Amino acid sequence: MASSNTPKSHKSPKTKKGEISTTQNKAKEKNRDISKEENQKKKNKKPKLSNGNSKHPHEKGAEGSGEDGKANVFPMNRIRTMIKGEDPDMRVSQEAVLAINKAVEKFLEQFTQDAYSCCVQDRKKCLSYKHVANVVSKKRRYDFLSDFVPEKVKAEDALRERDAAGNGVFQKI
Amino acid sequence: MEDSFGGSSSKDKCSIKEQDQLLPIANVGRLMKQILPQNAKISKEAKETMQECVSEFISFVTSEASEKCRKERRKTVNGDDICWALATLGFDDYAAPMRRYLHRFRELEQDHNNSKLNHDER
Repeated sequence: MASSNTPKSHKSPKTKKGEISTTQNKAKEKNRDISKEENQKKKNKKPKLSNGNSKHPHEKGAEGSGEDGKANVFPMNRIRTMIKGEDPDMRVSQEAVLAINKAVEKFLEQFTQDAYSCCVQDRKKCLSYKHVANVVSKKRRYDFLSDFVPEKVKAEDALRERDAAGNGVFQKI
Repeated sequence: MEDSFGGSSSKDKCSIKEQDQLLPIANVGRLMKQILPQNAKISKEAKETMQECVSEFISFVTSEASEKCRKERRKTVNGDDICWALATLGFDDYAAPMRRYLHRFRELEQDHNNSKLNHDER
């Protein structure tokens, strides 16, 4: 009887160990699955963003190359409309619209940086109109915008100038 | 009712035309944010000002390119004309990368056309 009892006791721990190992394996597998899913999600996110940005088939091809990785920031039709508005008789090629789009993008980037430099000198966090106006008045490149973005003058100063002009006229008389 | 309808339609037309004269402010604002540090803020007035400046830039460059084409008695403005206009108007640092970009674009265009031909042949 004693001899028959001992093998039973031996068998039971074996089965337990086996169960433990199987559960561990299952847990590992689950972890792997989760990590895979996470990776898939991460992978999925990036192409979605790029797909959303690119509207033109050419741009998709262009995205491959590093330098021209960006898709167009501004809608092509809008730019075409604006160009047409300038000179209705003239035809505009697709590459001209594309060139303008890229040029505008670069212009806005540089203009924003220049304006922000003024903002920093002013020790402010918020980029505001006066910083833009300041850049336009200082840099020759932006002269063509001087009528659109005049620097603001205080009413007092304006009145003084007016009084001075008035005085001049009065003196002449 | 007719009067109000006419009024609303005319207003819509006006607003549409006005909107068409400017680039979308959302795109302008987004690009500005990408350029500036994260903690920087941009006032609405600054965005609107930038919007107008950018639109004026398009008119500025387009006029110059268009004028050149007219003098040369051509009827179509192309990418080279835009590059020339940029250089002429003081944006010479834009012209070189622009030419490279257009060159690449034309190559892609050719590849695209070639692939189309191949597809048709198959």
